Amino acid sequence: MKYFKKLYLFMSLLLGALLFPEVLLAQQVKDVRLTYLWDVTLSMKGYNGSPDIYEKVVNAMAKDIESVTNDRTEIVVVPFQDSEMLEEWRYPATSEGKSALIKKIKDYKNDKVTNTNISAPILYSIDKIFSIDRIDVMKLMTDGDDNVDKKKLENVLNSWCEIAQSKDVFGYYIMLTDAARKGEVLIREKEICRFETVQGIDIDAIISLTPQKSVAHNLRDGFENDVVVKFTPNDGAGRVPGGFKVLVRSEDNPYVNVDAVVELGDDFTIRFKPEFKMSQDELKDSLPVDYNEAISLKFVPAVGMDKSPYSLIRILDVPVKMLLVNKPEKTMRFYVR
Amino acid sequence: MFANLLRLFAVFFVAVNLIGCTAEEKDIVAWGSTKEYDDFLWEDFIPDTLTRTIAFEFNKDARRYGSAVTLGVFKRSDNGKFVPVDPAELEIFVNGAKQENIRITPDMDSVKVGFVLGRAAEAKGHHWYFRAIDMGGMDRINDIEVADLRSDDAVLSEIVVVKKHIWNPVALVLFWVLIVLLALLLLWFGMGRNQVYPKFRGGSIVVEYGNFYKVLRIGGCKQVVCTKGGTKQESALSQLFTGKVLYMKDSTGPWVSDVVFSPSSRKRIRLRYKTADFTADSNLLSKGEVYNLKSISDGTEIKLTIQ
Repeated sequence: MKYFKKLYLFMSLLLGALLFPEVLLAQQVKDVRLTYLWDVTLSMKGYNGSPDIYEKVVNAMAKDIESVTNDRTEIVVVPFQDSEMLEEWRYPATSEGKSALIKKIKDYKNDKVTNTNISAPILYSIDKIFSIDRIDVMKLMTDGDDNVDKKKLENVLNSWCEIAQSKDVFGYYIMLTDAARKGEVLIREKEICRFETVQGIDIDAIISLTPQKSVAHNLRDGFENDVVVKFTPNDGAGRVPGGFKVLVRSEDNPYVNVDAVVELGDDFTIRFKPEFKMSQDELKDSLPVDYNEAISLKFVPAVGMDKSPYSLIRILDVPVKMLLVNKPEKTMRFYVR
Repeated sequence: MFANLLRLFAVFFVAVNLIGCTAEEKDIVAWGSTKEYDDFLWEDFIPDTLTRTIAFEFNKDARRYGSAVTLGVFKRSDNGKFVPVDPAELEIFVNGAKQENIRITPDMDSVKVGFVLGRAAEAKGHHWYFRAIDMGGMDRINDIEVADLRSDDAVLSEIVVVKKHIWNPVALVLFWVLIVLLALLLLWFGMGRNQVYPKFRGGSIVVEYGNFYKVLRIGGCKQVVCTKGGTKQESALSQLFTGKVLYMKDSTGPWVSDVVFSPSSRKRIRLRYKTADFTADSNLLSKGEVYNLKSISDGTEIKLTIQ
């Protein structure tokens, strides 16, 4: 019986680790890989009456690449048209790597009229680029609609959420012109997770904010305290303008309700007061003392944050747990000011 | 001529300013940004101390039962493992005192932590991490359970420290002074010198009196001086910056005082002399003409043929 208990405990832990690997990886540092899927069809150069945005996109990409400071980051560029056979330029974000990559982008020549195949570069990235050892950020930049195989694109997008969560990928569907809006409709309709849509050419101004994965609220001696959640901005040129507001909500639970709009501070933190559904003493009696109850929090830009100057700020869809700490704990927090 | 020179200088300084303005500076602020330069002449490099305040919150139990927490600054090695940042790259100062790590006791509210980047730290954005070396009996630091913090790749916080390598200020000033001097020299030799000190473009002056006959090739000279002699000589520097002076010396000649020929226009030569000593047909001599210059004191007739 004693051995059975131990085996049961071990199996539970193993199953937990397999089902929720992000819990084990919660405080680990993963390097980032930045992948640009770059539409190089001739419409980008003004073919057939479309606006000529080629140079602007090249310059914005170059600026975005140049602004990466962490030389452990890997940068990949995949130019695409309609072919399933794709070129891939992969460089580390060292100053030499960035210069070589920017040169490759600027020197790229293409004069062939082709269709636009959006599913091919996404599938290529899933198969050949994304990996579990890095956080992958994919920026798909297009000025048009997929006119090769729409059904295939739908299927790719349908499977995106699961793959993105398992491989820790965040996608940006960047609509360089209004002609690319159909992709946005598809992503919004299907409510595809980890795939943000962004309008415009200012690729370098996109800012992604990653919330910390767990925040502890001590019910014993910090009951009245604010909950402080720290966000980490991406490594790049973008700056968050003052006044950016975040809507924070908690999942349904018997203990606490969070539904607040709060402003992001200069130190990239937000502070909010949880509304407890019972008194401190009742909570102490209701909550377990041998483990901490975890409540899921969701962070999204507040209403009005889709307008300038905030329209290019995104909060990454990362599961955040608020731990209701009821067991006696010695805790320390520090803030760099 | 003066107006032309002014215009030239204006163009030059506008160009220099434009070059200066295009150098874009971009700072990524996290922990801070510092600049390093090499020692040069009397200006030795003194590193900045990038100081930030770290504030702490210990809960009641931590204050009552906890002990000191030690934070270390780590970086990722090539194989991805966390290793302490080498003291040759980073010196840590806690409340002004040099320390290997940052030690915090539960009675502290804040400390001032200063980073001084050493020569061994590369000029780039350094992504470093705070890791707990000694948990001081805490159960949770920065919302992370101690069990998780014990993992080899767990961190408490990431910091970015940017180091830029710049020119030594003295070297930079000297460099720009040199560039400005070179540009001024180029301007002077390219255009200015010929504007201020015009040269004869070619031709010759034949000087004849008594038994004396001499053809003076005047091309490239700024002046021709007929003189009795003596020690008159243009210095090499003066010749370089203002042009060559051709001296025609004759100690037995009628040159009571110097007679000077200088360019007036493309085809004309200006003749200058002391009116008390000489008289001449004309002060402006044209090519292909013959002129007479007469010494008043001894009446010597000097024939000048302009070719």
